[in-house]
Amino acid sequence: MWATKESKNKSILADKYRVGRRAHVILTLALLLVGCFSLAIGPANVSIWSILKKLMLNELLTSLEYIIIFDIRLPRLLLGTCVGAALAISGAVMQGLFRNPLADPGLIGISAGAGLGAIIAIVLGGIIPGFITSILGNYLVVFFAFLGGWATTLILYTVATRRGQTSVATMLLAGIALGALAGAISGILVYKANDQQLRDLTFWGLGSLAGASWAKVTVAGPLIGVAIFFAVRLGHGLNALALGEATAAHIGVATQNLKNNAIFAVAAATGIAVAVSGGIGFIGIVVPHLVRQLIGPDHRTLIVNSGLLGAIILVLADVISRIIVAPAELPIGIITAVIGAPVFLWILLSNRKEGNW
Amino acid sequence: MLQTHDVCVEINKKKILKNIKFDVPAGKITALIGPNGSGKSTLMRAISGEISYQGKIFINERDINFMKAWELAAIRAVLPQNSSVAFPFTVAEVIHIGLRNSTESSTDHLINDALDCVGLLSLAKREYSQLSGGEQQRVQLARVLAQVWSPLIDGSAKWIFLDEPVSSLDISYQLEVMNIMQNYADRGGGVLTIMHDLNLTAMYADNVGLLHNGKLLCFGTPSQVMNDKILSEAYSCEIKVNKTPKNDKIFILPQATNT
Repeated sequence: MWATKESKNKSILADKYRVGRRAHVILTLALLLVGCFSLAIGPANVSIWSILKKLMLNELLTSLEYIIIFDIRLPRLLLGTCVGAALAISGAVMQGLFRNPLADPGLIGISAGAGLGAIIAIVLGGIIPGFITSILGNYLVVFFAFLGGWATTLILYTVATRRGQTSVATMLLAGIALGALAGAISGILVYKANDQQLRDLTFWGLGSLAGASWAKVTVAGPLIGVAIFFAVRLGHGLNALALGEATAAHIGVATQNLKNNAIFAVAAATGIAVAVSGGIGFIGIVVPHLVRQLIGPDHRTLIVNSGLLGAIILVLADVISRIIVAPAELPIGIITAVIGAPVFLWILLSNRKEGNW
Repeated sequence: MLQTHDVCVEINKKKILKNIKFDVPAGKITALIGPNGSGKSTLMRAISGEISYQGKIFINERDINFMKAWELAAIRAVLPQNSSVAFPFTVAEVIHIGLRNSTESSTDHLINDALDCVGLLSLAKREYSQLSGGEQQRVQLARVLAQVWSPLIDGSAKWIFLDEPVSSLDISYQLEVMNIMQNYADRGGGVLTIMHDLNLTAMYADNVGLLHNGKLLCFGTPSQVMNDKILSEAYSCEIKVNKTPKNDKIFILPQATNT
């Protein structure tokens, strides 16, 4: 009974993990490809090939070419990559934390809190003290959105934590309540808004990368990078949490540290992503689902692969948003919802067929 | 040795456990019995380091309050009463996750051995959620076994704590699980288990602790603890304790109230 048998399971464990690691490489290459595509495509008739040729031959670009590629499309591509990765990784971490494949940062009100912050800045911007608006300049909305996301997270964390232990269930319920409250206050402010503010709010609410700039990239990029760095280190712990919080502790996971790191990584990543791009839905919930279906639920590879696929999907959605009604732009949240909703339904239906739910 | 010194647990200002004091030797199976609500699971959760308590709990002479999660995980494994696994992990992956604290460089042989031990090697690649309740319970037992596979570490015992390990199993698997525990104890490991089946307890346990209303009524060998009077009082029904003519083993017969 206790004799060692030759390993037959070695292959399944090693292979699945290896597939996940190999997917890192494939998705990174795909992201590079999609990035080139994003630089090449747009309403302005600029040939990426002629620009590449000029760069290789050390010829000067025209000012129009320079502006379109380096001041418009490249920061937009980088911001889209950061935001897509941040939203998808936040979704993967939240699903692991809540042990629920339907969780995403929107569920616990972080996105709603960030949205409320943005709406306060747009509608009540006039009554904010002058020195604050002069310091923040064009980043007033971004700053308030980030502040809103963090304020929500801190309230949630305080409500759900007793005697040093955070209850994930309480956090979920409090998050729903706070999300509803933020929605109600947002509704009141929308009611008060004038026509111009309403247009701004609508565009912001549906999400867009149109405001991408190097300044936003340099603010959001490092912050999202740090959040992602912490998030990808949670893989082992989130796998253990899938067996239940008590069992995770029994097998040696410091569960409270794990929850703290997960909550604050998600708050940082989501807060800044929503702040710079508005409310982009479905990336956080659909992408981890897709990755789980393709390579399995191992969070050690799921988190990174979700980030890469999230970046790819958001950059592609941005390309579509730029060209579909050119020279105007469609808010990117519409594209992600149009793609995401049917994909999500398809996943639900295929899971039902397999008897998983 | 596992020792509890005047352990008290209070939940929502209600005293659930009152001054529990006993010493559990390694190399033996110790069963905790008692009626529903007597505090068995709460005691198990305290000993597992899951909930806060007053008093002291020592495992191998180390106060568990001063041990980190990974230090505890290296010397004891816990099988909870109910286990669910979120996400479609395979059986082998579930056991692999439980080995995250293992010092073994390769964990694959442990997974195979543990699954072989509970008779589920053929299901290693199956999705955990697609197994029956009994199979899931045996996978969890395999996970626990793999975590503390060698029953001794530097001459000290490793421990397995089980909360009703046979509750979803048919009689043959109940015996199989208890035999596995017997084997673990025989090789020097410590086994502390909550049991509802008094006959299995009498058959396998070396020591029995009987809890009632949060107090330890008595602790000793099955023949010391399991007699008509003590059991009938604790369970509030008439219970007859008999011995088999062949090998003088205890067996328990509850008496129907209308007889």
